[in-house]
Amino acid sequence: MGKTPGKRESTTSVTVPRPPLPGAQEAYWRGRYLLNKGHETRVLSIQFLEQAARADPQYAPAYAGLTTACATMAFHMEGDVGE
Amino acid sequence: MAKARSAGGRALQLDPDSAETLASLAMLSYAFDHDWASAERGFERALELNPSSARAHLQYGLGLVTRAKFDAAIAHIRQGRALDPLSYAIGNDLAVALDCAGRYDESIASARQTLRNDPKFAFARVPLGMVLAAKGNYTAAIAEFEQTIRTMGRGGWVLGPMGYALARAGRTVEAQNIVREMEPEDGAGVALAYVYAGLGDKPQALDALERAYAQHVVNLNFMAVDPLLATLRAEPRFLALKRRMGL
Repeated sequence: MGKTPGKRESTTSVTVPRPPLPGAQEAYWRGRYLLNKGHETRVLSIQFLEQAARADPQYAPAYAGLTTACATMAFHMEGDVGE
Repeated sequence: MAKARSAGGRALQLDPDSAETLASLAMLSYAFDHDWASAERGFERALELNPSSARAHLQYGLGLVTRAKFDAAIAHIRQGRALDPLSYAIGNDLAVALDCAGRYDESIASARQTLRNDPKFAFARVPLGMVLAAKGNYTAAIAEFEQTIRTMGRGGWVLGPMGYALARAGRTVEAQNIVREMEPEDGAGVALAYVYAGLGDKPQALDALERAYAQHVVNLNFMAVDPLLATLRAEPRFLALKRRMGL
């Protein structure tokens, strides 16, 4: 009996990211949605992404989204983001 | 910007392979630090980690525009649009890239396509007006700017190119009124330079660009390729500023 063609046994472990702590996920989703919506909702997206980061300080996607939101805002000179 | 860098530092601590973070920080490297080498490394690494990041393609593409690497820039922005066809921002920035490359008709077509997709997206009228002005069609350009102002109000981002078009159309008094309106505005340097360039006042245009440099105005990154500043390109002060910008 050989292996099923096209299938391979995994020889490496896959790191599955842990789920975010309660409160972080929904704030992150809202922040990400508002970030993708455009400039009119950028400030609000930052507030939600900060909320997600506060709820789970180890939640990397919240910080990545926050970086993008703040960098995009600075790039488009959309004003002070509380720096 | 400090907030973006701080969040970026934390994001990379938690996930050093975040393509999104690397691309966003790369954008800051060229736009604010004038460090293209570092930016290019960041963009390349980001796209190696995630070749499907529309945002990274767009950010890299805009950076390449500022360096007059138009073919590569347009290829990246088009790739970004293929990955995210509903993004109006990408359609808008494609029009900007084509305008800077001197491909005016393609730029007009791209901006009009964005407006067909969403007629309420007034931001698309500004690059459309700018390319019409670059082509010398000042009346049509002014009409686009006026429509933008009716929808979104007055700001340097639209008044500057409109002042350029008014000046070039011979409507000098209206252009000078725009200068007076914008003079007190912080960060209006590039927009003011447009109007002065349109009026043929090179010393004032160069003063405005130097103020923009002192104020870290992001649009100054496009100075070397912006058609509305083309009459200044051979000026020694312009060339000196380009060097300071790392362009």
